[in-house]
Formats: sequence, structure tokens, C-alpha cells
Amino acid sequence: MSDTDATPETPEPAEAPGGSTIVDMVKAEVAEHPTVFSKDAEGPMLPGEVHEHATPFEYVLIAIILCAITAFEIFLYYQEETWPHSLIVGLLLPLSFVKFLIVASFYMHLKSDNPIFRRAFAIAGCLAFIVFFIALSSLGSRLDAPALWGMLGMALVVAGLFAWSFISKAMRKA
Amino acid sequence: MTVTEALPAVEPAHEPEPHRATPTSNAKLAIWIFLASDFLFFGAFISAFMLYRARPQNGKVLADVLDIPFTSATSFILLMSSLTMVLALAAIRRGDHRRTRLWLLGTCFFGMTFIGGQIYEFTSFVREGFTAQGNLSGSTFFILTGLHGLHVTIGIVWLLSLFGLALQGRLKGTTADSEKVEIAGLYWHFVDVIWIVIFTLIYLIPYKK
Repeated sequence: MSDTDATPETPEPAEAPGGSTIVDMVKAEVAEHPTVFSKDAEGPMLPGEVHEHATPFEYVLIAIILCAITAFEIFLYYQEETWPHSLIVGLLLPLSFVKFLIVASFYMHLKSDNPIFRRAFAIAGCLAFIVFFIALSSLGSRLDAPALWGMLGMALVVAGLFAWSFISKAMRKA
Repeated sequence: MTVTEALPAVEPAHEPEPHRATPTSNAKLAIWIFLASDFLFFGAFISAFMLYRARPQNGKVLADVLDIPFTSATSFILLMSSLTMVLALAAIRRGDHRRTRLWLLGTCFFGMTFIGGQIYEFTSFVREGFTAQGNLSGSTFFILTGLHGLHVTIGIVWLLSLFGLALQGRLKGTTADSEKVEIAGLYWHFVDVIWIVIFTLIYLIPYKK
């Protein structure tokens, strides 16, 4: 074995000239702007903040997810002629609810702030739903199949969130 | 061991902490209580619209004049404004004043584009014969979306005032300043989540033929 064969290959640095792959570009971006990807670089915690907020990079990822869900919702709207009405409504309502939860949890920081805000907003949300259903049921509108599909979908989403929360807590304890 | 070493360390004198009912700041709790009440307010108006949505109406109804591609574009713009708003908060927390100003201005720009789109939409609806006076569906639609537009406009004025403070160098990145941006952001994101609900319930759920 020659000396050349024995020498391990040195990794190419991220900012090497000619390194134009996406991985290199991301590495260079991280090296240039470490604060954008790091929670530690942020200032002191704000009043009411219990856990650290997400990083700007995570905020961008969340925006991409929100845009993707919105695009899928618009796609669903155009399936009116081919897909059953109940199915479209049954998908649209939970998707809207998921978007609502994502914005409230991450952008409004309900996930990381004092639980008192979460409770205040949740109580108001429940009351708003109660107003909604009292108005629709007492003033002549009946809950038809699409509405039931939508509610079933939302119930599944809520159940899934509870399950996720329970499992993640159990895993943290373990 | 000397007497000084044996004594416990004496804490330096502090300014008395202002009394707080909760472990958080009063301003933040106040904005959350306001948002919770506003949530109920919008809940009532959305209920009113849904009540008349599928009922037979005289004259034109919303389904006849809807322009989903256009409203989808403005919805994307409002979603993006939420991103720029939260980036402004992250920037001020890092003490990055240039980016704070940039993202605040970007949020105002997106908000104004959304409002411009809404004015255009209202104008085209009225031109096509769907008016607030035409029927109950029209009244509830214009009141609900108009009220949302009013909220967005108030948010734009609020953000522009923050941008003005930042330009004058009066938004320095202290915890108090960061909280000012955070509270404005909470209001802005609330306007966004309400639009998420309105967009689905009013625009996207297909109207039965």
C-alpha cells in the first residue's frame, strides 16, 4: 500500500471554491448567519415566555407548510365537480383547523408561552363554537352531512393532537 | 473564620417589583383578553353569515361572483405577512435593527396589498350586482369581511407606528421594546387566523347548486 492510499481523504470545506451543491450553500449560510438557526443567540426571555420560541429557520419551514396546506385547500375547491361535496367539506374544515392551530401555536407562541394565554384563547374558541352552533341550530339551519363530516374530521384532528401530546410526554419521561 | 465570612451574603437592595396579578406582563395579558373577546365577536358574525349562506336569496348571491384565484392570492399574501411579522420579532430579540425595520415594513406592505385586493374585490362584486343592500347574504358578507379589513387596517397603522419608532432609533431591542413588537405581532397573527377561518367557510366550501 502506498502512502497516498493510506492518507484519508480530507473533507472539502463548505466555502470551497466551486462547491455549489445545496448542502454547501446551506453550510455556508449557517456559517455566515449563525443566529438565524440558533435559539441561544436570542435575547432574554420575554414576559410570559416559558419555553424558547422557534428559530427564524423554523418559522420559514412553518410558512412553507401553511402555504402547502392552502394550496391543497384550493385544489380541493376545484374538485367540486368530481369529488363528493361531503368529502370536500370533510377535508377543508380540518385543514383549516390545522392551519389555525399551527399559526396560534408557533407564530402566536401559544405552545411556548404561559398556559394562561392558551386557556384564555381556548375558552374563547369554545364559546365561539357554541355561539356558532346555537345560532345555526336555533335559527333554522340544520346540520347536514358536510357539517357532520367536518366536525368528525376536526374531532379526529383534536384526538390526534391529544394522542401526540400524550405519546411525546410519555417518551420524554421514559 | 472571621465574622464577615460566617455571616450569610446580603442581597443588594432592589427596587420594589410592581405588583402583578400573573407571572406575565399586564400588557400581554390584556392583548390576549382583547383577542379572546374579538374571537367571540367574529364568531357571532361568521355564524350570521353561515345562517344565510345556503338559503335562497333574492338577487345575486356570493357564489355567482366569487373569484377564487384572486382571493387565494391575497390569502397567500396575508399568510406571508405573518411570517415577516414573526421574523421582525426574532430580529429585534437578536438586536438586529436593520432586519427589524425591513420585516416590519414588509409586513405593512403585505397588509396594504391585502387591503388593496379586498377593495378591488368589493368593487368588482358591487359592479356585478352583489351588494350589501341586495340581500341578507350580501349584508352579512360585507359586514364580516369589511370588519376583518378594518382590523387589518388598524394593524397596518400600528405596525407603521412601530416602524416610525424603529426609524427614530426608539426601538432599541430591550425586553420592553421586544414586547411592543410581540404584542403588535399577536394582533397581526390573530387577524391572520381569523382570515384562515373566513377563507375556508366563506370562499372555499363549495356552494351546493
